[in-house]
Amino acid sequence: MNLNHTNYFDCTFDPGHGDTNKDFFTERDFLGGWTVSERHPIKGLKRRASTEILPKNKIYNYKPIMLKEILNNVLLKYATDQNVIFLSGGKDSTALAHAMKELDIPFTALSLYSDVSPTTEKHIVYQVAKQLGIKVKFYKLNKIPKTHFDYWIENPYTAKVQALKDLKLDKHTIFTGEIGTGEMQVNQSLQYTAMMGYKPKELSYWHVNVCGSYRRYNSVVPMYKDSIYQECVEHFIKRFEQWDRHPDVLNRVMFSRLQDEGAYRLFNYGLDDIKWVHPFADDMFIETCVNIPSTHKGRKNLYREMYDKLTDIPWRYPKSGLGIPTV
Amino acid sequence: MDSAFQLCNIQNLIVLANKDAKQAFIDTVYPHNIDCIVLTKDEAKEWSGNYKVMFFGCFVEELKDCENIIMDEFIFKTWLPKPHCVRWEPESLAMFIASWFGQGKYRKMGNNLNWRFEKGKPNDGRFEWLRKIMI
Repeated sequence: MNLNHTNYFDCTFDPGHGDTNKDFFTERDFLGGWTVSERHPIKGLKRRASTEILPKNKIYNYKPIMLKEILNNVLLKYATDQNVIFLSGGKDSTALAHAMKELDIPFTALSLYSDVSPTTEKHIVYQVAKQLGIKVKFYKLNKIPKTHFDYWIENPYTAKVQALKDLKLDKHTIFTGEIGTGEMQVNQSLQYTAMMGYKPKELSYWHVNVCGSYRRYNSVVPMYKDSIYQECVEHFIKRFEQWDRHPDVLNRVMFSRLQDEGAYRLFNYGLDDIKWVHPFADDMFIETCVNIPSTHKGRKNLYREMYDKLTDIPWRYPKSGLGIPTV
Repeated sequence: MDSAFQLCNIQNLIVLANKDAKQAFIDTVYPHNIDCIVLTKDEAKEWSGNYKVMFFGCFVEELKDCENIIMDEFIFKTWLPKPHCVRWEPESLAMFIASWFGQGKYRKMGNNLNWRFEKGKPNDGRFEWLRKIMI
């Protein structure tokens, strides 16, 4: 279950049984494991997305230090005396661990790694742990067991849950870096806008193509004639229209996919009994983060502006993901 | 959209001989891989820094210390007869460009493709010679 308020990313599927809706699975394939429409795996039932709109019609002129206060409040509110952070060595989980350490909140840092995946970021995690002065529990996982996902597919979630259960940490409060600004894939859309100007229709194609190809195709060209593919593109065109209200054009460019992809990232966590907290997805944090001037984001290190002593180790390495095969 | 230039983390440069060549690239190849900045030879001279650079039909001395590749010979292979040709399409050229720009990740983190080379589909023998090379 998701403990903190993540209303911008709320998503539920109507309960019920019936005939399979093949169109749902077609759409899920086009987006690489998730969907954007009201389609449900069962015919006649619907998916209900959040009705909250993330872009506001004004720019929030807050400084990043305000984000630090908001984040710290979330951490203090949900932390118990038994906390876990999944430390991947990436920007978000490192910033989270730094913040918890700064607040003297006790936590177990847990890191997944694999013998078969050279891209596992174990050596980065070691460096981060040394810098933060923390000990890390490493959990080896060479294969993620194939899991049947009724709705959206999120294999790293399966890996995390397996680690928590095996290590008997599943009754702890688990903090994740989901929806952190370090993970927001914004560079390509910013480059495209720098080259071509603001082109929401083309970027809508890019959103679908890049997600559906698991980040392999940074293409703005229509890739399929299928009507469901086209519907996905139309969905993002409408998202851009929602963002028209927001005066900072580059925030539109950076965050037009965030609510949809964010809902996907958090969805499976909401279905189990584990106590998950996603501080970066918290209502006030994410609303402030996307609506402050774009000049704080992009290549700027927003986390460093929030926490001036934060290590830069994760910024020295390319993002690689878990890299563990699902079999 | 100059402000967008300020915010993005630019690493990948495509450099072409002149304005017409740049426009032709933007019209054909660029839409298939937007993860780069496209410049003319003259524009590129203004850029200093640590970039990865692909040159098409030109070379810029000022960028010689960047990791770079001159594509002319690779592109020329399209004009050769089969089976020695490399028949580029805009999409395949875009994929080559994306792969070349992604090399740094492999140097720092290793590759994560062996499992796919071994078990990935199609596994009906078509790519057996490549599989043997890669695993």
